Amino acid sequence: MKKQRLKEVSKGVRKVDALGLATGRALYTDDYAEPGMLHGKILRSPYANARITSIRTAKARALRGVEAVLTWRDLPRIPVTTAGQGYPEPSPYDKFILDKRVRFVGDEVAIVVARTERIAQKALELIEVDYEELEPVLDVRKALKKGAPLVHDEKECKVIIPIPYEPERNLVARVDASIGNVDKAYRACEHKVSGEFENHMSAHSAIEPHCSLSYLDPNGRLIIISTTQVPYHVRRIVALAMDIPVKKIRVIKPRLGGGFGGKQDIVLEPYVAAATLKTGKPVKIRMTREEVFVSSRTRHGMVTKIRMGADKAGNIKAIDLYALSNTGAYGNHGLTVACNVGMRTLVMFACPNMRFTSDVAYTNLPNAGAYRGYGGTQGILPTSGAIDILAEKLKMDPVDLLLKNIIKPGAEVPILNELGEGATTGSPRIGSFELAACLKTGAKAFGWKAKRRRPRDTGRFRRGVGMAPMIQGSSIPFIDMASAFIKMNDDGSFNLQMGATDIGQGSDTVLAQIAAEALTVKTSDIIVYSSDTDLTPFDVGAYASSTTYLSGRAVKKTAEKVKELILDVGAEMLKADRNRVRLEDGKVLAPGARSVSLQQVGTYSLYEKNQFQIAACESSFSEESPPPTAAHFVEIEMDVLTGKIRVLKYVQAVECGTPVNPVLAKGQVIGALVNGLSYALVEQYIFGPKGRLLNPNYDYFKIFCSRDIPDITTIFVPSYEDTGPFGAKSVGEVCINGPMPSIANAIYNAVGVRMRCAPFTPNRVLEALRKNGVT
Amino acid sequence: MRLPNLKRISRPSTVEEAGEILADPDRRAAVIAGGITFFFGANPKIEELVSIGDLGLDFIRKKKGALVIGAGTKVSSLLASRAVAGYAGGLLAQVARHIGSTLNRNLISVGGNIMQPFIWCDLPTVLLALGGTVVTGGTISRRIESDEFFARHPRQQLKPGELVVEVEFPPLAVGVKDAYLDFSLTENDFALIKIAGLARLNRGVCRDISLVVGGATALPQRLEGAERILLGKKVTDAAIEKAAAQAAAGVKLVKDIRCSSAYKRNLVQVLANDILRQLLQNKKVGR
Amino acid sequence: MMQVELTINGIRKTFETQPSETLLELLRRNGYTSVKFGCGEGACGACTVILNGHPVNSCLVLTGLADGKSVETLEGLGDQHKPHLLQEAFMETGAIQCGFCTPGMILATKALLDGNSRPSDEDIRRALDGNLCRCTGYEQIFDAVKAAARRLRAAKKPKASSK
Repeated sequence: MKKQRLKEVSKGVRKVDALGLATGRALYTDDYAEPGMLHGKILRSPYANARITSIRTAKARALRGVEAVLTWRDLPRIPVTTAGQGYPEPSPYDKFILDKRVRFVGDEVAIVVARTERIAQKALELIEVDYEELEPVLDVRKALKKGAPLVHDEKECKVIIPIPYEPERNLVARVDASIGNVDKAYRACEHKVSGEFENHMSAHSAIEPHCSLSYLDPNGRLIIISTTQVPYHVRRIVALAMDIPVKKIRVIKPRLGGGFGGKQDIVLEPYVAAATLKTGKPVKIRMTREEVFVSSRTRHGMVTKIRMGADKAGNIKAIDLYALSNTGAYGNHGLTVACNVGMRTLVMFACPNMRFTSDVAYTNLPNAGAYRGYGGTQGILPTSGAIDILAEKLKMDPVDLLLKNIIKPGAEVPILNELGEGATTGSPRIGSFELAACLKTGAKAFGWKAKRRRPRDTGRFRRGVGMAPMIQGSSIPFIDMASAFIKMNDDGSFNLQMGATDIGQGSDTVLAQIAAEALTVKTSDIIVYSSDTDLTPFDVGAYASSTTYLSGRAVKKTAEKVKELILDVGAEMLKADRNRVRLEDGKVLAPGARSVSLQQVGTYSLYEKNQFQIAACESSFSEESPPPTAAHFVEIEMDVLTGKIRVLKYVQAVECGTPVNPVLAKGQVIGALVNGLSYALVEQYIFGPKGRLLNPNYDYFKIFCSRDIPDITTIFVPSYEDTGPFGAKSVGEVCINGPMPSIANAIYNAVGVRMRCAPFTPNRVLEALRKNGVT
Repeated sequence: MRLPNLKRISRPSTVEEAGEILADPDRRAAVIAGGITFFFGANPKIEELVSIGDLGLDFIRKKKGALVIGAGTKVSSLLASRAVAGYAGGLLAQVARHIGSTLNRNLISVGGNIMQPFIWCDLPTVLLALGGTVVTGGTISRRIESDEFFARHPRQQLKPGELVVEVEFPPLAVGVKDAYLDFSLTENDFALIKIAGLARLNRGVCRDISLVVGGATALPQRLEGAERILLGKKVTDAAIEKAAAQAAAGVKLVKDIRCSSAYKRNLVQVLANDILRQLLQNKKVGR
Repeated sequence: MMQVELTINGIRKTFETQPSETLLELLRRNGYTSVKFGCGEGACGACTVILNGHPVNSCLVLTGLADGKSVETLEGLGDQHKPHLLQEAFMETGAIQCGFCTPGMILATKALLDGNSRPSDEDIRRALDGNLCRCTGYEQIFDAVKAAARRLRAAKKPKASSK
């Protein structure tokens, strides 16, 4: 663990884009307009499963102000995946931008492009469609059964790498990963627990709705400005879908109002692209809030089953986890989210016999995709529940049971090799891993032991405490790649250009801090420009918690290359031995107390002698995915007459290596936690009997507001990741995984009822209480 | 597009003028105060909106212990008003605090909240519980008692050209206590169920009782069965439980996608129990 | 077609509009892009403006009903050259992540502090209950409001005389 005195990294510097955001001058996609811009609207299916037998657009086209109406006939029939993932994607190519088949209520049917949004909206109503309604499959438990209606019966859908894919029985993916002999080991365990759990679909609900704008530049290239977490994937997939070369497309992400995974798919870009290519004009489409709820993406709902066995000393000898994942009408992220269910749970345990299996199924429901936590959120519910149940059987505290069974820093984790996201996961070794410290610190700060000793309340209002461990990763080994370009200016400042995508989490700032630290300058000396496929070098984008760790490594590597060039020039200027100069506090120092400032170096290199541009471009991919870890502790109070749960106190202890910017890191873990609380307690998708979402608005789909926030204590536990830039790991996702299992365990502690199906809304809690004779 | 045929927004300066426009069938006009109602469902035939903003209906007055509030008064003004804070021990202020969000309350008008057909039913619940009065103007000017007003959908109550101009909350008789409880999923959510109540005790006997539930249907409902069980009887735990059970059994419910009717019935019972204990036994229950 | 007169950030202007147009739509197409579309139904607060001194959802206000009134948007509060101290407070405490809720949050904060220079924690939560944030979990936004309140109070204090 080597630590150095850090000057920019580990400081809460102000965000590099703060001023633009605080003054409202920063531009988001919908704030852009092009001369002659048209507005697009998408006609969406009212049926969950249907064929379009006829579609007539004459009346719509005749409406004054309408420029074009596109249907499946107007686009090349090319299957793609909308998943924002590295190529070759481990998701099926099962999406046609417009199709003569619709697969969920809200699926795309046609595109209207008109002079104004109102005219486009009116034109939508004039499109005449005949549908042949088909029986939909709306329950993931039924989707894989014989005779279930098929979501994809077209011959063109396929996977492009050799992974299991059987659309003829609605199977999107299958995972089977194991070490040891789980069945044998489980049978031999003195203490066995098993159970089935379920978590629900939900919405990212970023406050900025999806929006994309495309236009042709003067040389005929297609420029796309979009609310995207993945500009490079957008470029590749739009090229494929529209059958135009990648080099003809430029994708730009401006300021973005929150993503959380909902903008990690290619959602609107092909639609504006198709409209611009057809009309030759700029086209903007912005989703309504209803469309965001229904037709963007959701979290995968899952049914999970777990068996966990231990010997009488409390050593866990077998863990068998299964997930049936509902991926909705399209298979994007189906396999990979499922893999992460196993990866973000089993990897925590030093258990020699573990198995993770999963079936991912199509249903005629909204399209599930990437969502912060990405399988980790789903997996920790049964895992933490099993720990809780097992601990009770063993008459042990669940914290102690965990401490006894989790891996230590530097441990080998063989199950990692089996669980890769469709490829090898690289070295099965975990570096820094301070989950034990998080458990101990969090338990102490919370007063866990004392609260656990409390006898159960018997009145109307009953308190309970629960906890959960969680881990995530930092990028996807061998698959994710990040790169950065740095050039030096005559005043000693630097331009940092990188593909890494700032979606509000502050990556522009964090990465500038890393560059500044390596170059011994201030963060304010780094000028950041990001996420433009023409001007910034490749980065997979903001997902898999890859930005701080992986993009950070690329930035540090690039900065160090630039540093070498600076030293070359400095040595030349000082006529000093190249091996004896060093960079410190923004100066090149030579023996004899001689120095030149970076400004002098910059000016010299650009103007004075042996001129060249000091610049470098470096890349990074990783052989590991160092997990940030956390332990969450919650105290609730339940009204047993109404089922309402109030959170009295919440403590989270997190470790993520060096927090590059402690203020931003704190914002990430609190934001993730609150999202997780809201998800566990109040968010629910309510579907009608034919698959229509009944609550696509904030009146009926609630998220936490300012008055719902309980007392939260956030503690960063020290740790240091050798492979990370200045010891950093990523931290953006992990804490969203805590609330659902913690609260489930707290409910059990309060009333002795094990709630296995989230969300824990009052009516569902009351139902469980009634069923179990509590009230 | 909620109002696709909207052609005009008129801002008359007298109630009579407003009434004339509304009564004219060719103009297809409707009243607008804050305008929130139209974002949640509007008759697409509407071609004209008649604003009450310039009719001098933004006021809060005390009238011999009663509180008279102009239909154009914003809910946020209720919260800022000393007269409202002092009325019925702050009951109206308490209800007002639960209406929408801080931002919404700067647009929601008392008149709009009384007239709207939606299930959030805030002011109607407490107006009915208090036995208040709706005062109209325009082509007709009359006083409609709340029991009659909320017997049918408010829009069906008013004649062409008639509009609500003020709402009167009566003075509470001596010895009358009041209370309001509601239950929602998040803090800024509109409640699943809300209950407003009045009661007067004399030597342990319930002499007056008014119990109204909102959120069960689009109109507030008097829980008559529960009232009958308690009126004129000695207050006991058993009587309260029986009344609460009757309230739950007797309440009419419409489908609410957020929870089952069985759950709502349960909420009615729990809240009725809680509010009766508060009114009749001075026991404040719940959080 | 109709005309309305609005005083936006202190400047009186006349606009062409339609009866069914909302204040949000009018403001955005006239360059006030700090006012955001988030939901269009008065639930998220991203479209908050201060109308005649009161913070409202501009997506719920028909332009005809705003005629003759004053409107404050974030553009009128401060700029890159001279940010307002409310904006400084938000920049300091991590209250701004993606920034999309920020214009609404700052205006709601301004409305709160204009009327109450010492808001309690409860006052702050209430004042912001119509502004949804999905990034921060609100805690650092509360910190910003408290910091802003302190700075405003300090700015109003008469300076101690130096002798």
